[in-house]
Amino acid sequence: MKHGDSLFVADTRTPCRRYFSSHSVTSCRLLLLSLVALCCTHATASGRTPEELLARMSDALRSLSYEGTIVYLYESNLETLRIVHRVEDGQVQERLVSLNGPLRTLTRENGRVTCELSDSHPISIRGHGVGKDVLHARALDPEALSDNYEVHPLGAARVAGRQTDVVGIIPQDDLRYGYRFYLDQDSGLPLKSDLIGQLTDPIEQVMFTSLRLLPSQKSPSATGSAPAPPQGSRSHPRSLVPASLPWHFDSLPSGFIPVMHDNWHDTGGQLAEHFVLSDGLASVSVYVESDPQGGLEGDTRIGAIHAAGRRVAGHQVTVVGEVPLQTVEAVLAGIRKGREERP
Amino acid sequence: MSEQQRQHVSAFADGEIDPALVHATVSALESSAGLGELWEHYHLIGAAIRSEPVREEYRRIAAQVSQRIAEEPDIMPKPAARPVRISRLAPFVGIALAASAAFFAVFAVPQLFSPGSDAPVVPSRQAGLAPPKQFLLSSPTQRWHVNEPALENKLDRFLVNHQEQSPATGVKGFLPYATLVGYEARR
Repeated sequence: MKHGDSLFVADTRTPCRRYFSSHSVTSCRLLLLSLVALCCTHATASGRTPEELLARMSDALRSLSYEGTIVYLYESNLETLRIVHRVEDGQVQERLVSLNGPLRTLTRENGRVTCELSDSHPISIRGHGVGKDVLHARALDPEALSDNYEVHPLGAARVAGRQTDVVGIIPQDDLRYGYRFYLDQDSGLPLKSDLIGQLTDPIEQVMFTSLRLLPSQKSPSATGSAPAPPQGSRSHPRSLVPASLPWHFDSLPSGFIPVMHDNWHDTGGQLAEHFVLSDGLASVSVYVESDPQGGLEGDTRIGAIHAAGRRVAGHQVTVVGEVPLQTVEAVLAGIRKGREERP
Repeated sequence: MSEQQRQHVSAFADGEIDPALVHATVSALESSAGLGELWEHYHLIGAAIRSEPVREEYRRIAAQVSQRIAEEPDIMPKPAARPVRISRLAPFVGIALAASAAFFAVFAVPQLFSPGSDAPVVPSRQAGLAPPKQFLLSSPTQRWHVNEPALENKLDRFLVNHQEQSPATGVKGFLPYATLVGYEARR
């Protein structure tokens, strides 16, 4: 019997179902579909739109002081971290300490990022370089992401004893990861972040198991709303890289454009040209070294962060970012020196 | 055995008995086998609540105390018989002795009979067998899976700088740094 044949069999449905099968069902379905569509595109448990939630998240991360314990799950490994995040006079002080295994710490303070990892020399990096004010302080703009991602409300969940709204940022292809943010209904902070790839299970999960909000020192620069992208540039990230540079990208993964270029002084005075490419959410860095002391040939990764490297025109080029392997490989394959050279 | 006696034994086992009731409770324990069993049960329950191993020594503790005391040699010579003189302090001395006995029974005797935390761990009968692979602790290995410390260090520097300069780092909050600090490659 075909699907449509059911229209001609005896009606054995209950009176209730017969009622809904009457001519009014069309309007009822339309109403339901409208409600579902409304819920799926706008409403969240707290009644805020995904756009509002993402803006609140940005504001919370920029303005709130907090401390807590975080669990980090990757590849069936579970790590515990202690985080203390303070905002004072508009400056962020953050300390992240691993509580499992070898001691690893990261401190952001006084414009520097200092990192001590196991079996590694301490790393001290000048924080937030060129373009920071333009690129970093901006709230996530779902419209600007719309070419590569879809933003959906995913319901509500309870995390660390607090109610959260869940927002999904879903990639439209395999070149970038997706995110699921569990945003505290009270403060707007992300209490849980899931990094989603092509598989059903998240690649990584980071979650607060305990959170204590600290008294925040109000500062206009720190507590003001994250600036909205300027008019006319909302739809796409804008390239801030001059075209006159000796290096360019012949082809890039869909949606990625160069958004920053800098001459970066590595430890010991080594100079590297540093490009940042972004699709508005995901990003990769490209380092070009003219006189490298050891360089990556091939690819490697830590967790969901991939790196790939090769020699190009006598220079060592290394691409690193929290994107799938094929994306760093595509970026690496696209870099050229000058306008005429081919690999 | 009355309900009141049960309550007194329970309070005694918990160390929360009214000092005025110690004498009567010790006397009741000596004279009532039922109360003695109750006393043992309370100790077993206490050990279970404290997640202590239930030792055989906890069983029939009263009988063991009696036995140990009986086995103790007479170190002090028996004093010569003297005329009995009943002191006015005799009742208080009795209570003090009873309290001492109770303290001994509650706190000292378990120490005598239990092996204590410094005792060597009794090896498992299967200690010679290697545990299954899935039970072995994984050991940390190179974070970037490359056998060149200098290159690993450089990749770490690249990554820290990348996270700090990336447009969406601020938006994603602690997530990028959680990966950086939390990740420890396993072998």
